[in-house]
Amino acid sequence: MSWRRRSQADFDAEVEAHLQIEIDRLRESGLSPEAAEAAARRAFGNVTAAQERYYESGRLLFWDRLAQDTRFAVRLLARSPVLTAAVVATLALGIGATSAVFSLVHAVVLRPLAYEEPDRLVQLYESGLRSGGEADWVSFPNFRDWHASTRVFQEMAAYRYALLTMTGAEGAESMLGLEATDRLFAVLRVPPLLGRTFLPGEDAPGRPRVAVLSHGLWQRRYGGDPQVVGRSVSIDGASYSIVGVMPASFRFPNAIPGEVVVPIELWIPMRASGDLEDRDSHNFWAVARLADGASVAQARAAMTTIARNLARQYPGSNKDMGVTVKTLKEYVSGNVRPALLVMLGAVVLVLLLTCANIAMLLLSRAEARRREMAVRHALGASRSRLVRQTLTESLLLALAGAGAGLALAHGGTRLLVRFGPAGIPRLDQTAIDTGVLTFTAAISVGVGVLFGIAPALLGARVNVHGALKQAGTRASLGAAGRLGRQALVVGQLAMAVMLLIGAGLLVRSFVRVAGLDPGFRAPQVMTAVVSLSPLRYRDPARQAAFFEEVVRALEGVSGVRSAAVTNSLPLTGINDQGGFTVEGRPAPAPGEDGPQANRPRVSPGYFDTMGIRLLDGRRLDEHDRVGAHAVAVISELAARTYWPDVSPLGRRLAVSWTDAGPEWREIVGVVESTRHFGLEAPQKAEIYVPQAQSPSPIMMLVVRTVGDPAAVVPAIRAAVTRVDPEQSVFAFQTMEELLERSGARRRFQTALVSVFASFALLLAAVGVYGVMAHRVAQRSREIGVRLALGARPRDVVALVLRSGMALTAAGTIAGLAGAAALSRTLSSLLFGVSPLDPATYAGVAAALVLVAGASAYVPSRSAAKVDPLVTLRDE
Amino acid sequence: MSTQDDPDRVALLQGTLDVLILRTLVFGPQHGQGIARAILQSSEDVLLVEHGALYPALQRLEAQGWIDAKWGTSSNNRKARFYALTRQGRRQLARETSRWRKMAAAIGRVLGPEPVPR
Repeated sequence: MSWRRRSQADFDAEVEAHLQIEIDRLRESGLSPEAAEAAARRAFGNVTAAQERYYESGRLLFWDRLAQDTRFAVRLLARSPVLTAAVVATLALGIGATSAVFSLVHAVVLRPLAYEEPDRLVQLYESGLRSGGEADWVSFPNFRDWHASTRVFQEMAAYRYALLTMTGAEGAESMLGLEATDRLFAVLRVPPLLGRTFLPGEDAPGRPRVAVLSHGLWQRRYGGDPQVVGRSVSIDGASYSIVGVMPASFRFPNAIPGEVVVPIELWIPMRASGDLEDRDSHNFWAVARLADGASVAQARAAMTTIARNLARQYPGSNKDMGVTVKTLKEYVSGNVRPALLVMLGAVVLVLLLTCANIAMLLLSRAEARRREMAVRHALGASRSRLVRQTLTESLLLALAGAGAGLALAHGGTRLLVRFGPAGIPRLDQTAIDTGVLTFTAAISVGVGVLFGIAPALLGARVNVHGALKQAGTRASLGAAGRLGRQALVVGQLAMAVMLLIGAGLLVRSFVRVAGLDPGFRAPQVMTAVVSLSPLRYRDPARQAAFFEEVVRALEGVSGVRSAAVTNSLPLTGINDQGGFTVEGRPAPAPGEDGPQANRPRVSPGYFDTMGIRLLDGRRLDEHDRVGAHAVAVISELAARTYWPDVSPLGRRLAVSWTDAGPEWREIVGVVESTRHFGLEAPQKAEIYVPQAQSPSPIMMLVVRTVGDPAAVVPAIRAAVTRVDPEQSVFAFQTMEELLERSGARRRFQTALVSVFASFALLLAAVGVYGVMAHRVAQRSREIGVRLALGARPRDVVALVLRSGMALTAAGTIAGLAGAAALSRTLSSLLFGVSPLDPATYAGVAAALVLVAGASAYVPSRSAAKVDPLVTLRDE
Repeated sequence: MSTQDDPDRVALLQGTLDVLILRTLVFGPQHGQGIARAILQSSEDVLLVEHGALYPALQRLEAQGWIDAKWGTSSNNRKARFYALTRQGRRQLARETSRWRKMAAAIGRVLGPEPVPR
């Protein structure tokens, strides 16, 4: 190939010279100048052809034509800016929304967890009738027995959450950390960024205490100091040595299923506590890595056997307890997966709608350009060239739309992460990444090709003569085009109906949930957490005394109406569940479990502060302390369930046992039940015991204020500091915030689907309008004839409207049927509403008929205004 | 090729042009018009070359390094681009010529002697 190509000009000069020399020679042989020139040109042959041949030789014609097509396409698109803008905007919205939601789904559901071989990781938890069949936390002795008995896992670890306070030169701060057995990092197999993780046996008592920091903590507290390994730090009053720092991408656990998503900042070995030996205390979590070659099914079978053995060995605590093995992936994203997939489905529908709209727009344009295509074909453009040219246009549009869509998606993803509800795990890891980019590129190219090929092929199969004959506006693709259009619109209407029904059902569910009574009065209540250092407050009596003092101090603060403490606050996901014994009730039969309840330890003012109504008897008061008569207050649900026909007042129950037997308490009051586990979650029996009689080192402060709750935060801090200067208070949030957070996910879903549904309705309306307008333009001659023959404008309107309503009816019916068919997928997201709720279906159908009717009405009006003289003349 | 003025002129096959051009250039550098004329003349007006059709062949030969080109002045003081044989071109010509002669002889044998016009 030539290294430096001669320019076209150079070649043209050579040709010119050739001709001149030939002319000279012919003139010498006697011809006149004109004749000589003519003869010379004749002898040469087609000069232009020769120049073209030169131009084409050795050039990559493909790129050349592409550049030409692109330039032409840009000019053409610029000439109809409204259409171009409409198409690009619609596409951008469709692709942007899809990409944003897809990146969300990808991050939460699809993307693999950032551990080595994450599909070999499983979460273990206990299950059984005791917890109503739901998964329950693990007890440590059980975990130890599992660990000793099984070979189906190569590594196992147990852990629990701990609110840890770090003190030292860098200041005091509290954070959420994890206490774990020594093999935790061996299970996850993520190498540390600095230093090391736990060594085998490092969780044994008496060993020097070590700590592993999170990347965030390392940056925040130690400024990313590379010499941090080996330094000592005081955690909860004990001295620890920092041995390692985890990388920024490491997160374990990925989420606490429930409402709270707080990053774990610190990992320390399991600390000694009473519940390590208590087979009945289910306060731990367990995670394991499958042995090579073992499957989850095998693991499940093995654990079932072990659980049965333990049930035989320890009938008191392990009766009918099973072990559930779930892959970590499923465990993390399991409960949000259906919702997200529904959202993805909604968004894909919207995208299809968008594509349908654009297809119709481009189809109209292709029809209008049929004449142009015919002319170009006649002038020598091959069919493939025509197809290629329209394809370039569509691809250009598609790419522009995709580019704008990606920018929108980027912004949209940021919005989703910022305003998304807290309960979705890994939401903060949502970002546009290669998976999403590939997806977006694929749809846009697909869209471009689809729209390019269909109209181009139809336009290229041109009967030149016929096309040139037909007048511009009435140019059409005939029956096939009309049918295609109608099918598209019916499809659009159907999809809009389905989305609207989905949105309608979700909105109704949302309203139902929002109307539920939480059981307490949320406004103007501030909460906070105080975690007492186990070293300085080892004695339970001191713990109780501390909190009594704090409550007294708080009640003295101006702006505070009342104050209390509890170790289990509604809607926080923190609870104290366990069994209890009812006096006089027969012991549970074999195969049955004893009664279960949530057993908050509260100060006397709790019910007043929380606004929980007293229904019978009395509340707890300051006389209920150690040494006094043991008492309890139960919820109305507990009363109804366990003392159905009698008043529970005066009856006895026990929430704790010693070797001497149950520690009986007398029921002195009944209060209203709260929705402790969430507005939508099933309620459980509640048994309130005085914290003075049953202390806990970790308590939540509850303060009802006169004015704005946020205003008392400094006062709360000051009050706690007055009682103990070294104690910190943290996690301030109002009950209203908690209430809002618990409803956030549902609100988010509902809002999102509603937005999509509105968008879909808009698109469908535009689609109907487009089709009707097109039909009117097509039939303008017929309409002219009718009008000329005496039809009233009203009749013409009716004529057009009728066909429009026929389309609407078809679309609506198809949509209702589709929604009914898909109703099962939505049912898990609904609350208090049936997926086939007739009111919603009817409402949506009516709304659609109205909207579509309005869309069809406009062109029908313009049909009535047709001037028969004009249309009849326009041949 | 274009319409023929003279029915006796035989349209040239593609690819044979290369050999003819090389052969013409044996006698010294020549420009495009000169090459066309030369082929017509030495074939006694039998071989018709559309002048324009020469140029793709010339480009091909130039690309393969068998001829070299340079702008110069013609005999009647016109600017023209002159083509000259290179050493490889000469070798190529020898190869092609012998191949052609063999092929012509073979075809002649197949067709048999030309019938004597009556």
